[in-house]
Amino acid sequence: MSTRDRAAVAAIVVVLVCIGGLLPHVSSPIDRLINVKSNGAEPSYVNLRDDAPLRDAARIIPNNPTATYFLESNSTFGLDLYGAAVLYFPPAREVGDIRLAQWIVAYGVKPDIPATVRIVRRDRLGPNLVLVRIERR
Amino acid sequence: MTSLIVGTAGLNLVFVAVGYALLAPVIRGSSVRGWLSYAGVALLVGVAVTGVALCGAAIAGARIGPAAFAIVAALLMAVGLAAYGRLPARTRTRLAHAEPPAHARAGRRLDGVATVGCALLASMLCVAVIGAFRSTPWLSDVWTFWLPKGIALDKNGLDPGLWLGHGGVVEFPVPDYPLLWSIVLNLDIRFVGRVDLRAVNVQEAYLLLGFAGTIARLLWGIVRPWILWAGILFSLALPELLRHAQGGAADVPLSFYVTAALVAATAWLLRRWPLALALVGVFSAAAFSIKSESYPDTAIWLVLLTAVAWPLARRPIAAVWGAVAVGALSSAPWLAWKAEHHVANQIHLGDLFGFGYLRHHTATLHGALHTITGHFTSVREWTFVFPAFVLVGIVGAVLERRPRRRLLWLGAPAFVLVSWAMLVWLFWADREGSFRLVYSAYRLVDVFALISALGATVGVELIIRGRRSG
Repeated sequence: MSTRDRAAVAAIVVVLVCIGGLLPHVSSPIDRLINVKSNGAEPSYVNLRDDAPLRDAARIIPNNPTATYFLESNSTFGLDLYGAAVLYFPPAREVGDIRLAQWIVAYGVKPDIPATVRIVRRDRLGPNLVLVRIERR
Repeated sequence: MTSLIVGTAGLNLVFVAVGYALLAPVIRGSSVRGWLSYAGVALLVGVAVTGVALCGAAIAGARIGPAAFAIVAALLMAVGLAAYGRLPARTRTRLAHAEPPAHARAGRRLDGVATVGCALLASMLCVAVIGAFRSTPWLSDVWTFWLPKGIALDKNGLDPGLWLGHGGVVEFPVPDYPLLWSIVLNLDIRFVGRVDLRAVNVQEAYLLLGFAGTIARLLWGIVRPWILWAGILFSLALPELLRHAQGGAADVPLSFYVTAALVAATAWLLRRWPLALALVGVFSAAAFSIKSESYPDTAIWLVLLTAVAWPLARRPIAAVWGAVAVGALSSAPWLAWKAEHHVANQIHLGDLFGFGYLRHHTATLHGALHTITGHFTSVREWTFVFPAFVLVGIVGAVLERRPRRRLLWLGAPAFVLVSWAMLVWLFWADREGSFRLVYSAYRLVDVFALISALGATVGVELIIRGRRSG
């Protein structure tokens, strides 16, 4: 490639990137590729809208592999809550049986506390999220 | 945003440094421009070798965070630099790639095509990288298991409870997938300093750049510039590939590595270039450590390449098998771990070959035929890559004057047909085929589309070369 070719390549790149960057509505493929409506750092949840309370919960749940939590939600938020939990709560691990859990993370539902446990601590984190520390009686 | 830019750039610069250190003994003596031309190869090699080594460390019980990464990267760079000084000059010369002859100027009009093609490709890649910084993956697999597995490997290690559900712990979905991609994504997050899902798309965009650079480097001197730049643009501007790259799908890096391995094998066969043969092994190793689909994907190109090229180049083809076998060996620790912990594969081999099972499962066959055919023929998804590759193969076969080489051309339509048939068969045999046809079939086409697009590119070059020499 000659110097003139390289200069031509550079000029065309600059012009095209400017067109793509400054005139985002120039065409729909560039719109999509450059993602005109930019996203934030949080996952692209299906239904969940408030990510910050889940990050707050991660600061409360101990940073320890022996910590366990149980997720309570409805079908609307189930996948979203699971995804947020496995992103933010490790090294704590999710258990499928509430009797094995030290923490209950309830989103969009009232936490269902079994009679065999007692509540040690309860935090309401945002309008939909409740974090409960439990112990066996 | 600053931490996202600095963190992802920093991680990828380390990958590039590792790649260059490993390539250094072979490309030693090249000009500065020569070294720069290997930047894409260095990125893919750095991610592949570091990732495979970290997979082994995870299986051995290490926690895979920045500390493990720093140790492994430093060790690999030390190995490369030690070899840089000690590799005998004769071996270096054998391995090294003789600088390709400068292309004769093709005439102003074709030089113009090369210039515009290169500029359009660079523009598209720039826009794709900017877009990656502005987008979060739309595919839920990324934040429900690919990245979380990497975070778990960092904070818990390879805990059988998390992979298999021991002790009442809820296990990850798809426990049989290898670990490389999860490890790389977690490193991105750690370098950024917080869970920022945009880092996934940025990593895929960097790999897109690395892949473009690798293909250009491997095919430089084999394919003339105006075909090469137009061909890479044709391959990477596929709407569905770019959509998947912004989805964060692991199928995208998988398709890059499988395709790069095949392109490296092609470069080896056409130029007897030992570095390209070594890259077949490295890229295959990465593919085998990203997704289980790498096995059928690699089997298809390897078997077809052997079938069409065996009569012309037996020993070089045997060497390609050897390189792929070395790549496959690198996944032995993961296969051993899976066997030890009885991790089942998504698709059972018994179902694939069970005539009775398949005969009673024909409802999925109809769906598979309809869905896979739809993906292969959709202009909106994959433009014209599959028809183009078939057409190039048929035209090449018709124009071919040497009867022994005619078979080579028929590899193109055979590849499209066999890859289509294999996907139909896989979904037919899959017990959850109806679900996966809707939610994942579209992504499994990536690798075949990329191979077809680049195959058409090389095919056009060979047709023109044949016409000129004949």
